[in-house]
Amino acid sequence: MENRIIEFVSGLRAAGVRISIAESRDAFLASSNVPVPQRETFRVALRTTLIKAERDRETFDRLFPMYFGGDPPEQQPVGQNLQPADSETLQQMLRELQAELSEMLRDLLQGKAPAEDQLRAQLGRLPARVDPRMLPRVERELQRRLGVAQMLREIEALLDALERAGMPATALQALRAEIEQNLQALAAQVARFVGQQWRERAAQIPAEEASDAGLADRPFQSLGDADYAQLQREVRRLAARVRTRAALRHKRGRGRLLDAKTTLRANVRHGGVPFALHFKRRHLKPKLTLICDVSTSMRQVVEFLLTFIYELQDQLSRTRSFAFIDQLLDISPELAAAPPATAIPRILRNLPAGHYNTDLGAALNQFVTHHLDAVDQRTTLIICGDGRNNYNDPRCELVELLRRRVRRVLWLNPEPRYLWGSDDSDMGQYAAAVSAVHPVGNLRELAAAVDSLMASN
Amino acid sequence: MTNTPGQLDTALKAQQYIPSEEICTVMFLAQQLQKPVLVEGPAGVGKTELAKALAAALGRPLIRLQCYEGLDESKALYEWEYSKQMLYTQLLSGKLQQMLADADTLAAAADRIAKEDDVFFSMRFLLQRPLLRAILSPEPAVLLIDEIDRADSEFEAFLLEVLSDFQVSVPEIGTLVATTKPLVLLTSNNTRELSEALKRRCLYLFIGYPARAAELEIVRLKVPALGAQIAAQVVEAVQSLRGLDLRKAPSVAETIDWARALLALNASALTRDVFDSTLTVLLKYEGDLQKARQMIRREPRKPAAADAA
Repeated sequence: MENRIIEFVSGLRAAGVRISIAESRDAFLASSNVPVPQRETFRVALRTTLIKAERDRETFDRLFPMYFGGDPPEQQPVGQNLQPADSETLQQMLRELQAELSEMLRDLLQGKAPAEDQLRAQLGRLPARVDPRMLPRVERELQRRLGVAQMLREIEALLDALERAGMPATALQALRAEIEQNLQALAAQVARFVGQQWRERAAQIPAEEASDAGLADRPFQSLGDADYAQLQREVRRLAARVRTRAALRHKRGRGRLLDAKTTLRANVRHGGVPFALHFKRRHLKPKLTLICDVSTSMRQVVEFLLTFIYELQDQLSRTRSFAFIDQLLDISPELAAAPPATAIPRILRNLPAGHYNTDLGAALNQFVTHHLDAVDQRTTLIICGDGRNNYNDPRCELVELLRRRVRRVLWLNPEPRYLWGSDDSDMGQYAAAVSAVHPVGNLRELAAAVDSLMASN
Repeated sequence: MTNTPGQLDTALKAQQYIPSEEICTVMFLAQQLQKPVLVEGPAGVGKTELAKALAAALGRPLIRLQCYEGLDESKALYEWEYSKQMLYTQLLSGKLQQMLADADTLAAAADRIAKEDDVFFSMRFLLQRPLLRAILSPEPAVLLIDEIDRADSEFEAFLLEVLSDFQVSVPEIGTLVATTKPLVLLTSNNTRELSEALKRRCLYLFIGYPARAAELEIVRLKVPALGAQIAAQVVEAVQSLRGLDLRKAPSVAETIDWARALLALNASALTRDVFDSTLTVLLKYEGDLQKARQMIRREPRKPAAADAA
């Protein structure tokens, strides 16, 4: 069992879950502390010690049966419990249809499971890195290659033929149930086999991959789904760095205003003589309001930006977020309820259906009309977008108006500078109206932009 | 009393808390391994309630530390009461004079005062905040650190130190070591990612929305006066509302509020009018309300079908 747990942990690691040695030790302790060796309790014991984020629970639940699944049910020969007459009909029919029935089905009816070699030959070698979420697809593919679809058609034909031959309905039903059971056993066998193959491959993958380095510098457009999980990790790492620096700045902030109350209290020990002075902490934490373009071209950038903001929540005093394509939507409640990676797809579903034509002018107008209370003179307003307005009115005067009301307006744009003003881009005009524009073509630039946002006070 | 997860289940149920099997197992393991538990989940699923019920079930005192932005050591751990110390010194000065009257030299007088050090540097002047109280508690306590995600990350780091050693050094007194280890529960609403280091040291428990049967049990337990039929309808309606794509799905706490509201209105069945007029107890966003009303319009017989079941 211990070996199996170790194997399981390395499987989880291969699937992208971070597990420390201390945690796998906890898993051992926990599993040996479970009083009754019940499967469910054991599962919970492993999960509570190994999985520390909701997003990894799915991976755990998928992998667990592959390692601790027990044996799949055996196939049973079909038609053993039939009346002698019905049994005779069945045998006769099988002889008649001999030529039409595939070998696969005959095996199934006899309760003979396919040999492992056969499965192996059909499946071939799994690629080195398969996302465990893809395994059901692999299972279906293997079933297809084994000819399960063909077999299902043959079963229907066989049952029809038996019905015509006068087999009573109850016997037919019993027969169908037995066949169903064997089919399920076959599916379980396939799933187990695929799981085993995956485990073998996962065991060969080294635990820590150190290939994150280049990702931060690659442009957002060129990133695939596979890079995504790694990038999320990278975001967390960069955010941790920005946080440390922000916290340091916070501490060393220059606002030296004497805090009389704390000073008096602290100096009671010196008989009221103020030896140790205490200063008021200036509120250095920025207050943010974000307006994000969530049209297709911008989605990834916005998601990473929001992830950043989410990670740095403790360094910010207040955040309000809005999203737009052509309509503006207050997305703060969604973001408060779930981390950005889960919240954003939900937000996109909730956005009012329209032509999906980016219209920042209209969105700004809505912001000024309905949400002007979201900004005050301490707010940093961030607009994240490419400034491509589909030739709608850019409403630069609204940006001007907002800039007079807030501390500063920052613009984050994933497009390189030489594309500003080309085609339907109004970026040139906007750039003149805002306090600063930060290019955010890749993750490193995004991190730098967020850092500067924390810095300049 | 709670040597197995099953016994813990019974004990928690006696405290009017309906735990899932997972909750029992994790809480049981937390006691066995003496590890803190990080509890996450949407707001209003009973994370704080769990700590209260657990304390009552185990017969331990509950010590609660509510986190907020700017929480620091002096609010969480201890504060030295200089003013009280000063006051004592002044009040006792007459007695001191008396004591020192027959001392011949300054050195002798100082020695004599030094002998009384314990009076001036004692626990008497130590204002204990929740963390220290949990450490010094003579019987093992349940320490609830609520909404840890609201505290700063520096505080998180400080907390790690306390939670790993269960000892604190106070300059005026010395090192205070825990005689009994408290059972620690940390809750988080996930407004920010907690540090890996903290997560590594904790067991993890995610509490989601309960299944239908469990939620019905909760409603029956918390609002016993509500009829069985309407209670089933309430749970049925809430469960299908959670299936909708809402900005804020109704939580268990809101289900209970709704059940209480219906009881107060003396409603005997969940008709559409009743549903419409009380829906604001459950849903707090205009868009959500509209979606819910649409759902009811689409299947007007849905709540009625529930009472057949």
